[in-house]
Amino acid sequence: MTSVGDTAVQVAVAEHESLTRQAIRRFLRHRLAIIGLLVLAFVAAVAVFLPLAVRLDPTATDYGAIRQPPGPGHPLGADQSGRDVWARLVYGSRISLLVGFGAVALYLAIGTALGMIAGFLGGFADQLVMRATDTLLSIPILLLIIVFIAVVGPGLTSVIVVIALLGWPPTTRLVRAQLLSLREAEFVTAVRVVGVGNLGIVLRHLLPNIFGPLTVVATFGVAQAILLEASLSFLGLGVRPPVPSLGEMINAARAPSTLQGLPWVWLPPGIVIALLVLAVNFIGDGLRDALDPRSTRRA
Amino acid sequence: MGAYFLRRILIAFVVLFGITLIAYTVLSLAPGDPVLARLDPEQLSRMTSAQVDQRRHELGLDQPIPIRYYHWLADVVQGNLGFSIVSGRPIAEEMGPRLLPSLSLLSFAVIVALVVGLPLGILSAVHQYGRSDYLLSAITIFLISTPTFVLGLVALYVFGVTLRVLPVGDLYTFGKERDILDRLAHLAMPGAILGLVNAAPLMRYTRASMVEVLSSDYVTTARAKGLAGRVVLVRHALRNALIPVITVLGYLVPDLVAGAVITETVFNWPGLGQLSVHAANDRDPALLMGVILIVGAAVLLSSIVADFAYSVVDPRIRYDQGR
Repeated sequence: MTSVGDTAVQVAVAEHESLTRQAIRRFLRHRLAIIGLLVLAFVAAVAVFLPLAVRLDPTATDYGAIRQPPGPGHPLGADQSGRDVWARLVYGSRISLLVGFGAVALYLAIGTALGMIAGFLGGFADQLVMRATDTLLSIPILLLIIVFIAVVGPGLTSVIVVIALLGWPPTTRLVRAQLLSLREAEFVTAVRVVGVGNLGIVLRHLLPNIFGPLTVVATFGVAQAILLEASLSFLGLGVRPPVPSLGEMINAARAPSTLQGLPWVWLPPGIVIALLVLAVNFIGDGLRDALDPRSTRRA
Repeated sequence: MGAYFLRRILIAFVVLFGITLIAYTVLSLAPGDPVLARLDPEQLSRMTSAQVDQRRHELGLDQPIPIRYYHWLADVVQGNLGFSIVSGRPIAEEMGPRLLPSLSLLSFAVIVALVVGLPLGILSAVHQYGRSDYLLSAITIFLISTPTFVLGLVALYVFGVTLRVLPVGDLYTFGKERDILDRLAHLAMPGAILGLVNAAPLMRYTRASMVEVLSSDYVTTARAKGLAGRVVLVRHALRNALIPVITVLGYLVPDLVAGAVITETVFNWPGLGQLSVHAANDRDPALLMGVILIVGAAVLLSSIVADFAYSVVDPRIRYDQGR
């Protein structure tokens, strides 16, 4: 008996490994996703580690360098108050990544929890959660974010928390839909017969099964959160000065003199945001192809 | 069918109720005295603090939030949206003049999105995996990934301040209020940017829909009959492929509205989106509630209209079968 059980386990493990390896192989074949991963890794490495190695001060004002074009001392020039654009760009990318990954990590937790409640409990809880989801998804999320920010006031923490509080519905929908179909699977019945409780089934047996689609949703979510933070900071409702944010740097271009005379102040942050979002979107595409066997390549 | 749409409309009211309740609750938690947003400032200046307290009691503002929300709702039903705490004017007066600019911007953007997105989506599908398909896919993902305000500022920089071919903002040139060409010139850049950004997803959907139809049996049959490629494309494939696109247009409305908030700010376009940003900066609760109510209603209405148009165009759609 024992030996048969052991073989079964070994077979299962071997199959599992090959599935993972298959997914990795599919991802590696996605050329754009690899490029995206390299770009993201590069930006993240610069944003996280460069300030530790080199002295960069994004808030120091060099009065001799006000409105100075790119050149010695200030490789990307200086802005209207003499702050170094390169230093602000590096620290701004930090904020972008922090908001992107931080907000999504938070709403993944909220969204997964609510989705599990809705999908596994059903009944009234399901109704309540799904109606809230429909409501939040039917209105431009930016508008509700603006209302929330008006109450809590702008700032880095506000932006992360507000995006997290309003960004969970797509995750919830996905988790619920996956649970509803998995709930009827035979292995769930098998586990239940063995005597595992609801919580154990959901956490130990169902959650690992939706890890793939969840990763894909989270990746596209990061891209969206980076865009949202940049938009809010551009509107003056996001990260507040003196904290340097890419969107806030671009906000300076709303003054015609900066738009026309200082393109090196607002163009680089614009390019970095686009590059970051593009990279993350490519990674999402690659992950979708790799982790979701049902989706065909670029349908 | 009537029953289906009646239900849709009822659900839309429930959703609108939910959205305004969420917004009202959150705004009620904000610091500041809500009674100031409910009184005509002219009256307020002539009132003693005891009278203000009495009004607060009369207005029910010393009541818990659900009851206050009920009073707000009762006022709205009677056409009273309250007063702005910053300008002191009624909310309807603040929003009224901004409806038309927002609507004209959105309509222009939808036209641009359709004129650009549909033909390019079809082109992409017809030449699937061809060079033009890859090029268009690249442009699409570029447009989706670049923030709207960056595109807007680059356009402003190129066409507005460098080439000086288009005006850099506002509704019209001062003194030329009645010049329709001047107004169109002002609309061109914000409308085109908002339209292009939304043409990208539209192109994706059109392409996917067209690819699916092109591989269907009846298209193969039509080709087998010996019909010319263009006839098959226009008369058989296109007509069917464009139907789902109507629904997509409905889904795009929330994105369009969010994009309008940003475009209006970039181009100093005096619409509702710009107003919502002002209202948030000023922490003007009544004004924010007004914007949420009107924009929410418009978005919900447009999704119902899209569904309705879908059912009219596609005879296969029967929303309540078996009744």
